[in-house]
Amino acid sequence: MSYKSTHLITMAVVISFLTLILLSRFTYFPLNFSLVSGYSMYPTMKPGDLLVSLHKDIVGYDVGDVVVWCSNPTYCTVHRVVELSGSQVVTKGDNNPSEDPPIPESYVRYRVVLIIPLIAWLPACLACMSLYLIKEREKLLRLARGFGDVEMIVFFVLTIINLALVALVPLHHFTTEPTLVKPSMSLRSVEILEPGSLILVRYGVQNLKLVSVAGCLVEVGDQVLGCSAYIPTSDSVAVVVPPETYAVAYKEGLTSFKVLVNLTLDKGFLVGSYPLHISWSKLGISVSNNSLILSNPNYLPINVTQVRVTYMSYDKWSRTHKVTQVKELEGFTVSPKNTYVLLIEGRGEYAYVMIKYLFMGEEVVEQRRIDFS
Amino acid sequence: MSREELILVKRLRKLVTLTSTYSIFLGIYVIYLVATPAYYVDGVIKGYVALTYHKLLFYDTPVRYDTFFCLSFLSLSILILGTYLVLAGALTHYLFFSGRDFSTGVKWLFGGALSSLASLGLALALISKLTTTTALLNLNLNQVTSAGILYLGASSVFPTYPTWYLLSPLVLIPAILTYVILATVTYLHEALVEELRLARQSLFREIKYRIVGS
Repeated sequence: MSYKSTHLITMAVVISFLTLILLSRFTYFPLNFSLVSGYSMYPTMKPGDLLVSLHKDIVGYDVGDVVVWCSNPTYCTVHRVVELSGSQVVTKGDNNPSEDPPIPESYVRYRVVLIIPLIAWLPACLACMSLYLIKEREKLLRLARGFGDVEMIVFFVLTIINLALVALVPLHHFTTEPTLVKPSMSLRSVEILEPGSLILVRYGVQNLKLVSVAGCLVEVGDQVLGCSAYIPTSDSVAVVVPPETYAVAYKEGLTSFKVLVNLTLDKGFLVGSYPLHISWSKLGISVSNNSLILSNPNYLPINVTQVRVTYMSYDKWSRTHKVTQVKELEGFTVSPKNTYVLLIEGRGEYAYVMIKYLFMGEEVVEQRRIDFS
Repeated sequence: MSREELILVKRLRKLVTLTSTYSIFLGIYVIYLVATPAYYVDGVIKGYVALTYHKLLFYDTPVRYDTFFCLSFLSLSILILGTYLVLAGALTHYLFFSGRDFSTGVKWLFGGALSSLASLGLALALISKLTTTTALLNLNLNQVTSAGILYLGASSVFPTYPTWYLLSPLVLIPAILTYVILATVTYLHEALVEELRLARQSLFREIKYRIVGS
C-alpha cells in the first residue's frame, strides 16, 4: 500500500471517528466521547477530562452511576443518578448543592465507563500527533501538495478543529439555577414564653446567618415601646417584652400586639413584624381541702382586693345553718401565670369564701364553699 | 509585461498589503473579543464574563457556571482562528516586504477567509449564548417571606465597552465579510497574475522556439 493510501486511510479514519462522535448525540450509537466542561462533577471529573461512555442498552445503569443525558442533541449533561422512580430519573452533579429536576428515562443515553484525565489524554495526543508529523513530514507535505491547495488545507484543518470541539463539548442543559443556593428565611414559630417576659421567634434559615438584632419595637394599640432582643441560637431571636406591654394591652382591652424586629444578617437584613394574641381570662378558682386555689392565666398580676370568709355551722336539732363568724382577710396578688393558695382556717362545718377583684375594668365577685369535714 | 498585467500586479501588491494588514487587524479583533470580558456583574454576584473565561463571586464565594465553561471550550476554535489570522497576515507581510514569492501567503489568507466564514455562525451562536446566560445573572434576592421582608440585595449585568459594541453582529459580520471579500479579490488577482505570467512564459517559449527553431 502506498504512503498516499495509508495517510488517506488515516485521515478518513479520523474524520469518520469525529463524525461518529457527532452523530452519537443525534442518533443511536454504542459509543460516545464527551469532554467535561464544568465543575458540576468535581472532584470526580475535572474540566477537560475525556469521558468514554457506552450506550445504556449495552451496559445499563443504576443509582450511583454517572450517565450522559441529553434533552436535545446540543444540550447534554453528565451527572450521577441519585434516584430512579418509574419513568423518571433524578440526577445530581457531585459538586452541585441540589438535585436536578426529574427527567424522563428516555433522556438518558450513555453510562460513563471510563474517565481519562486531561493531563493524560492531551499530552498523549499531542505527543502522538507530533511524532507522526515529524516522522512523516516529507510524505505528508507531498500528500498535501497532491491533496489540494494550501487554502483548502487551512480551511480543512480549522474546520476539523471546529467540528471536534462542537462534537466533544455539549452545552449544559442547566444554566444558573442549580449552581446558586439562594439565601432564604422563613418563619417557623412565634411563641410567648412563660411567664410572658420573653417572646421566642424561630426561623427556618437557608444559607444565611443571624448576626445581630439592629432594632426591636413592640406595638400595642397606638403605643410603640422599645424592647431588647438577642440571638440565643443560630435560628432564633428572643425578644424581651417591656413590662408595660401587657399593662397597656390590659388597660385598653386589646387582645393582640405586634413585635417588630430588624435583624442584621450576614448577607443582608430582615424586617419582621409578628402579631401575637393575648387571651385575657378571669382567675381560675378551685377548692382543695381547706384551701382555695387561685390560678392566674394572664401575663399580668391580678390584685384580689377583698376576701371575706363566712364560717357556717349546722344545727342538727333545729336543722338550720347559722353564720358563726365573718372574717375579712387581707387582699393579695396572684402573680402572672401562677397560682396562689389561700389557706382557710377550719372553723365550724363549712365556710363561704368570697373574693373580689378587678378584671378588664369590671369588678368580679366569686364565691366558693369549703367543707371542713 | 503588458500594460494590463502591470496594472494587475500593482493592484495585487496593494491588495496583498491591505489584506494582510486587515488579517492582522481582524485576528487581533477576534482575540480581543474572546479574551476580554464582555460583561461585568455587580451586586450580590460580582465579577466578569468573557467568552474564554469567567470569574464570578456570589457573596464573595467563587461560583462556577458550567455553561460558561462550555463556552470557553467552544471559543478555543475562535481563538485559534484569531491567532491564525494574525500569523497568516504577519507572514504574508514578511514574504511581501522581503521580496519573496508571496503567492503562498495569499493562499493562507484565502484559507483563513474561508474558515472565518465557516466560524462566523459558531461565533454568533456563542455570543448569543453568552448574552442569554449572562442575562440570568440579573438577580433580585429581595423577597417577602413569612419571616418578613428580606433585603438580600440584587445583582446587575453591565456590558463592558468597547467589547460589547465589538460583539455586536452588526460589527462582527461586516468585519468578517470585508476580510472574505478582500481575501477573495486578492486570491483572484493572484490567480490572474499567475495565469498571465504562465501565458507570457508560454508565449516567450513559443517565440523562442520559432526563432531558434529547435
